[in-house]
Amino acid sequence: MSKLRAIILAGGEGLRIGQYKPLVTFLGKPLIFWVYSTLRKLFPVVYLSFKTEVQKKSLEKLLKFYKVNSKSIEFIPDIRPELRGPISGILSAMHFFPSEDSLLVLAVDQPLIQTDLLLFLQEISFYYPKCILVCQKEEHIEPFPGIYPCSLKKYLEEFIKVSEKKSLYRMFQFFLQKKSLLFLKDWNKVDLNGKSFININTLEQLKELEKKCFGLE
Amino acid sequence: MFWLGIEQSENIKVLVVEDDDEVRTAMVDFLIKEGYEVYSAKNGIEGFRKVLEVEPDVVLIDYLMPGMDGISLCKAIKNNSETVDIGVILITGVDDLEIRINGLEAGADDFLSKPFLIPELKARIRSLSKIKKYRDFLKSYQETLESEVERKTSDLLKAHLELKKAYEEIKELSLEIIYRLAKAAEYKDEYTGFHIQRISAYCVKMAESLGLNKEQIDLLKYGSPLHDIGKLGIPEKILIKPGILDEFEREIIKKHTLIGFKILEGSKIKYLQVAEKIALFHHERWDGTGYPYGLRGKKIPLFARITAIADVFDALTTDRPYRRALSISQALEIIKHSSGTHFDPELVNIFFKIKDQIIEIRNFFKDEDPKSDRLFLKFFL
Repeated sequence: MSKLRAIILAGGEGLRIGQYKPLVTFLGKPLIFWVYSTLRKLFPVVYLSFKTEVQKKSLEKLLKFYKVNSKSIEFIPDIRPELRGPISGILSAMHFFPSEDSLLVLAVDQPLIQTDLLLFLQEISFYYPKCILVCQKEEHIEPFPGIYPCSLKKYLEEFIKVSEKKSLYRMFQFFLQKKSLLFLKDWNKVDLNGKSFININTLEQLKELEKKCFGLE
Repeated sequence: MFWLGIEQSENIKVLVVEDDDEVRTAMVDFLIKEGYEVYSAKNGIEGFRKVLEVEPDVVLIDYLMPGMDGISLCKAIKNNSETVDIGVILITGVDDLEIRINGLEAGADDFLSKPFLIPELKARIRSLSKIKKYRDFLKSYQETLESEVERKTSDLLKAHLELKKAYEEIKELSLEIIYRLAKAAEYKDEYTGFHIQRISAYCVKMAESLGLNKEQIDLLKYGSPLHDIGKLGIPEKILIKPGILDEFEREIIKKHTLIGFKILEGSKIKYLQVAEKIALFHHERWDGTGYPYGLRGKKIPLFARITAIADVFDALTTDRPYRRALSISQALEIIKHSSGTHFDPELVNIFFKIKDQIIEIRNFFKDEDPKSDRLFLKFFL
């Protein structure tokens, strides 16, 4: 019986923003709070991928502060912490769950993620149980939120082994060759303005978005 | 019974064709006295004209006559379907075997040689007139019989037409009930406009392209709309839950295939027998990962495999509470990508072969168009 698991990648170093990104405050609450809250509307359990024990402890402290039900959170340790970028977090989650499960992977820095988009991804994943599903905005690929089936674990390991650069761009090229990647172009049917894909990499971007967000619901 | 009255001479018409005036007059006088209805002619041509005019029962023909002789007149009478049953007695002057043979070939029924005895003449007339009356009766009986058969056939045809009309009315009633039942199940679910109507139309197009016969196409046409009838047995709070279903809820939803089967099973109506299989198997997948039984490939009934493609295509191209309908191209891409995993690859090829017709159906039965329901009933019934 396959399941869809919701994963927040929270193992980044936050180099450009200058601090551990999940804890950065956006509209009065940590970034991770916004993504977690959206996911909790749809999933009983949300999984947090982390790289270091320090990160885990920070997250636990934060969750305790916000009185988050501990049963609704599970942590997934990074099994390849030496790898930079989100790929190791995805690989770790693929190892964490049975191969028939799929991952709905979200970035911690996308606070305006829309539940409708997540439902849409979940619906399409039903038809593509063995395919990575990501949205495409014209020529630009949005890796998160995206569906990553655990059955592709071996391909991902193969990619990590053979590819010099472990970037998402190269990874997508690899999965395209394996015919295990599908770009969804109709995402605007659920998220008209693409709010879900707005991500925050710098404090300037964060402030800018906060100004815009006061007008949002 | 049918020769009653034949013994009475006045009912018998006799024509005497004789060129000798004395002999002819004597025969006519005698026959009148005997009670026959008597006519006479002086030669063959006049004789034949009178035959046609008075339709005698017996003709007495002199063999030797100037112009049209007795043999020729005999042939003329026996070669005419209207006069063939008239008894012909050929009167010869001499007892010549060769003449008799010629007379038999010409169709003469009896012979008298001059001079003949009166009782002999009476006996021959009586005998031939009986045969003639008998043939007349048979002819009339045949006509009566044919007329009776025609009447009965007409009655049967009328009864058949009435039965056919009643059958059509019952069929129309059954089909409309099937359609309304399918609609009832739709209302239990999120109302998805004309989903069932389009499913039926998509299935018909695929079945036609697949080369199925008219009866099979009809079965699919009327059976496919009931594919989700089992949703009547699923709690609404799960059926219309806004969000991702948990494992337990998904298992409950999956039961709609088995519930649908239970609702439809055991019917003697062929449409419902087909619908039963479609309801049970339309969520099976070609690669064996579907439900309820995980059937693989062609073990999944053909009608369920066809309905599965139609159902998914329509779901993708229909608005959902959390999204607008996907574009046709994206939906087609999904169908294509699921060929060999979710769907029968051969049927996916057919679906793509007729994709223009599929798109036409999609545009024809628009959810927002109130006419669609009426248009569909027209197509359906």
